[in-house]
Amino acid sequence: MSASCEVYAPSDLKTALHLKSRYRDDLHVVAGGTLSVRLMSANAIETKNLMLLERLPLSFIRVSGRNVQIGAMTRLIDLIDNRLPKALVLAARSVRGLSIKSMATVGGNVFSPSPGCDVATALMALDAHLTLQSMNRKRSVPLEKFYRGPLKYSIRSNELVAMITVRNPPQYSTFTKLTPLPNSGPTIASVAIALDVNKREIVRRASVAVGGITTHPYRAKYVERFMLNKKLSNITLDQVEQGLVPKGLTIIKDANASSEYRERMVPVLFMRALNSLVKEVSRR
Amino acid sequence: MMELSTIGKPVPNFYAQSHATGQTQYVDDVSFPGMLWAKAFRSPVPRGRIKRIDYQKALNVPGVVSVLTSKDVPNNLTVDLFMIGVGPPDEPVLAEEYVNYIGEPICLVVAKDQYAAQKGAERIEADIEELEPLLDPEEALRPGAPIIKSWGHNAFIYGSGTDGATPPGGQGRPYFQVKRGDVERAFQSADHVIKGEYVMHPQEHAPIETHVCVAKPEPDGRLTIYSSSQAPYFVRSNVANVLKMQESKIRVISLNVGGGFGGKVDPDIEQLTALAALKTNRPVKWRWTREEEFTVSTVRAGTKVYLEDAVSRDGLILGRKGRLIHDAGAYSKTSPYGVIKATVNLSGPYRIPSAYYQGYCVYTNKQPSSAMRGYGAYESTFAVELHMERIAKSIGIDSWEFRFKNAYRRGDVSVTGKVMEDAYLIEVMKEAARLANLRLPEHLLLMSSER
Amino acid sequence: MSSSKVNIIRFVLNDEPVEVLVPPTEILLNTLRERVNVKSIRYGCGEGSCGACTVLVDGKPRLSCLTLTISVDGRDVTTVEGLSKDGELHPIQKAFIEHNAAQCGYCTPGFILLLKALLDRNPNPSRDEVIDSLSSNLCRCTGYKNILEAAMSVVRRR
Repeated sequence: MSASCEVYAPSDLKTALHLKSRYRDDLHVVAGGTLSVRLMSANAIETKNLMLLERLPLSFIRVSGRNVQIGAMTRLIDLIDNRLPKALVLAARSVRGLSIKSMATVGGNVFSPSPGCDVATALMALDAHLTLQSMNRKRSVPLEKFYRGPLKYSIRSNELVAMITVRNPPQYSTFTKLTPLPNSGPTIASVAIALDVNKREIVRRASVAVGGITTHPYRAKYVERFMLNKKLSNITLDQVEQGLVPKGLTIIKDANASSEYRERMVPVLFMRALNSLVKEVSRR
Repeated sequence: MMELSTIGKPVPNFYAQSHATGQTQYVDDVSFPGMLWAKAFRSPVPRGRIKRIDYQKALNVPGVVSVLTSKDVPNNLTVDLFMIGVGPPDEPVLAEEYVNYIGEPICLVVAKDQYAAQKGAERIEADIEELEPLLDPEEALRPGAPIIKSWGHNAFIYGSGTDGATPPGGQGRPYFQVKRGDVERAFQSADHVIKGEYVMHPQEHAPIETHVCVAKPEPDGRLTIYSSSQAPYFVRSNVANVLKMQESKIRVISLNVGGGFGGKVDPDIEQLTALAALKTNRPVKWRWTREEEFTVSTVRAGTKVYLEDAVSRDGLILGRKGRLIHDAGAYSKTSPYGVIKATVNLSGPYRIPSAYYQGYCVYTNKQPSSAMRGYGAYESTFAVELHMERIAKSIGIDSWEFRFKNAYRRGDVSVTGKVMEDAYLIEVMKEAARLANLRLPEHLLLMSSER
Repeated sequence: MSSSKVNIIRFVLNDEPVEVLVPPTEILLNTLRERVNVKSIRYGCGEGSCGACTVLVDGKPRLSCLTLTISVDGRDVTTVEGLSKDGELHPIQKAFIEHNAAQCGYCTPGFILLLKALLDRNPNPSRDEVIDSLSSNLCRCTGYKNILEAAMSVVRRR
């Protein structure tokens, strides 16, 4: 990093967007720090100028009917909130330990590569949209369309993620993951499912997101289409197994699990998630 | 039974209060005005020949005070094993012509703070000709494998007086040998012969406190070393030898160790920190990163054990053949000694009247292995106990019964000729079964270690 | 102040004001250890995996190896030194001593601070919540059982 590095800690969004538009990619943005500071310490990025987002008034959760707005600087710990869709709460709870949960932000998590993208996985199953804001424009991008390849995002260099919105999510949702620690820990693989069923337990709407195995989460579209109009409790593993991890994906590996193991765990997690939803639906 | 005053009772940790208030002092807490920080430039390849090192750019980094290479080391050999009579020393303090594992230190950058030291190390350029690495110890023993040791063999030579266990002048062998009774006859008369192969992976100690050392030159010419080592006397002798100093001029202060588990027994960090302090005449701190702790510090050796047992119809072990391959990594450290422990323990706590064991200490182009919690005995025990289970299963006998039958009794003689005066395995197994709520058959409960 | 170039950082450390001059990318762990001389927070990994460097910032747990010093400007920083008042140890510290919840002690301040953050947030957590919360910190002498017992003894006492 050069000696002339400027540091900014704006307390309003307008100033932040002004700086982003002025410096563009020459500005390293720090939200919670769990990813951005680690990259700085590992010399993985050439740091230019710094902007800390933590003083921005972007830490909020607004619930209105079945719609949810979450400020980008909301910490993951604050997602453990009963008003929010269950998948989101479970994903936040599964993040390793109180320190990381208290530091990491929702806005940061959508950028985070696996295995640190639990909340983004749940958000993707809930069809979340990101509000991307620049000085003179505001646009909404579905989270699913936000990823354009490993560490490549549909965001312009003058934009910031300001807010995450979940509109009219399905009534039922859940999140399961595999981790080597007892309760919450690093992700080996994760699956989030969100769905609506009618009175006869026929699936009317379904979305399935898989996280932790590729750089960013993805939607298992084939499985979603297959589930439509099926009776929930009749869906079996062999019907969907092929579609959960489409061929040709590059599966990550790390100290916790090989790529082969990750891939093989996805169907297991899907069935765990599905069974918990079957139980929940039958209890209503 | 007599009421015991200490055994079975909790003893408060002497340091409990200072731990809970954060006041316990570790080496990383030692700091002096003007203290410099060190950082190693390490080999990026598992095996190679160094053609050129250019550290001028490191010296140009603001804050960098000095860069040390092997030419700066008065006696460029680490001599861990010297302390226990095992040699010859084979590990340079800083690499000279060859590097033998990823992470082997080549230069040490000394700078005014950790940032400058880090930046300096990043600026060093090395032209290293990569050579084919030896990664599998069994491959390393095959004829035609590239030889990475100066004595012309990829295994340590036992039996010639340099292993701490045999008198000098004997004929050397590339393995440590243990022999008792007529093992071939045992196999001829056996009803069952059971073979097994057991592989244990290497293990990292991963102490929360990484390796760290502070060395401070004193005005009277002495040197004070603050060390997180578990073995301050190893440190003192080793530093004295490397720096060609009198031991009496070196004072080693062992502060609280933030976890060691054997990984801090070898003097891996102290000699270079001490050298840097002498060269710069300033206090110097060297603290390894977590990555260095994983990739460079010693590990428990990966071990492969072949066992073959001659067993009688009624479940008595008549004889055992064993072959143990210990992956020492690039340098000896305490491995030649660990292999002796491992080899003599291939009988486990069992009465095995005839045996022939070979223990190979094999060098490969990997981070060196060394001490870790009962090393040697642990690797053998892993193999032996799995083998005991396998034998019991294949001859159709309960494995508790099999162990009771073959357990040492008082007066039995071990594979090394030691008379067992205090055998208690049977009693221990009975107690273990009781604690596990396992009901042993009556005839086993009637057994004892008395003959 | 909507934006500012930050060089001199002022914060309150255990009720005492502190002023330091830091490079913008310096992490709080290094500032506290090397510039402010607080040795109770410790380097274990430098990447948020071990928790030995845990501090409280405005009462919330922060891994000081992933926290830029410039970000604590104007905030309250607490380390384990700040827990005992007038020589009286904090109940969590006492519980760690009573339950022998420290062996080498290197990870202990991090665990104590994290537990304080948890209990300040939720005075009556279940055993699972405690395990869940403490899972960002590592103990390699494996005193987890005693650490958990110490933690639960404080929960029960409340």
